[in-house]
Amino acid sequence: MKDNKNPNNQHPFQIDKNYFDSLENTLLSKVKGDMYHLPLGLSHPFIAPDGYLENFDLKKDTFLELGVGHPYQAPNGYFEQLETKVLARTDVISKESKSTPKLQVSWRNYAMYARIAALVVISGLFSLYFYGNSLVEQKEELSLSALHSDEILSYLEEENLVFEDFTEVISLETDFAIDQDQKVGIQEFTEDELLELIDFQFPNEI
Amino acid sequence: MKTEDIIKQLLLDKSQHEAAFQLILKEYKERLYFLIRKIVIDHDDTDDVLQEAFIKIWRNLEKFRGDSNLYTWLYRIGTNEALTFLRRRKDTRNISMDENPELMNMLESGSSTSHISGNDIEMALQKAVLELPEKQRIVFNLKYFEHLSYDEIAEITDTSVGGLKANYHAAKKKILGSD
Repeated sequence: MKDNKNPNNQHPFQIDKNYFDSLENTLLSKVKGDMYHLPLGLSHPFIAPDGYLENFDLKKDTFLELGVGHPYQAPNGYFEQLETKVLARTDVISKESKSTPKLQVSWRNYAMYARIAALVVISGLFSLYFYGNSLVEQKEELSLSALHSDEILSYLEEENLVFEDFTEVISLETDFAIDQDQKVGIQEFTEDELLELIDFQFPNEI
Repeated sequence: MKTEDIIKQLLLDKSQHEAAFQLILKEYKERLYFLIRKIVIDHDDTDDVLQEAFIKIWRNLEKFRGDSNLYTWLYRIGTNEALTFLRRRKDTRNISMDENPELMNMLESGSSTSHISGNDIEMALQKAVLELPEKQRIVFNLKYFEHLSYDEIAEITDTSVGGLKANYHAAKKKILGSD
């Protein structure tokens, strides 16, 4: 017997032409049951008072509860550069402290005052060196280069000073020489300020 | 092991101080930057103060007492450096520490070049904070922005917890009352 059934139609049942197209929507709406849905595009009936949204502001007493941030930013790459800069500075400090023995003195030590006196003497010498041109004949001018390094070292040893003290005074005098207008002399520093220059101590609050 | 504990352990051995300092720098540079920035406002000033603070930390590593919090010690140095910086500048201009006209100008002229970029609420809060007296400003910054406890702030500022609470509440009241 010749089977003339269509391979896609191997059963006797028939369905509406668009059945499968609408099946999905039909099933979904059945699953959702009796839920009420507003048709799309339908607005709600609520209206804000005139100007309310424009003037909306947080209540002041809740303002801080939000966890407000700050507006500050660091430039790009700043923190990487900072590390390099700080480490370079600490490296210099470390090298300096290794090459120069630390001066260990007590603030109440009488010897310290002797050192201050010695510093003032040295500063006087260098004041002459830097400012003495108008007072001293050129040929009689006191020159640092005229001093032999052994003489400087023996003076420091004799006065119980270290080279750091010596260079400190030189740098001080150089600064003053640059800023001639202010007419500042090392003699104008107080004893305490001079002590700080030699043996700077951080305040107790650290 | 937390980074702070690692640093504390390194600090016990003087030969490890350099490693400890590098870790401190790496771990706390941003926190200290913004702590100082909120006090001195300007980026370049913050950079100067922050570098000085780190140099001070480096020079004083031996003075750190291991039984206290490392970050409160660091915050103390950062805060002190920032306040010292402002005091020096104000001394030369004869301005009270409780007035901050120059800081307010910096904040109000905020632009991309000054690295200030916040929304209206953030800017309004900063302006209100700048109008606070110095002590209230510091306490408010540490409590509100750094989320520190009163005990931690007491360690940083050497003030009693009761005094801090009073200062913080006074600061909040003034901020909420400002326009």
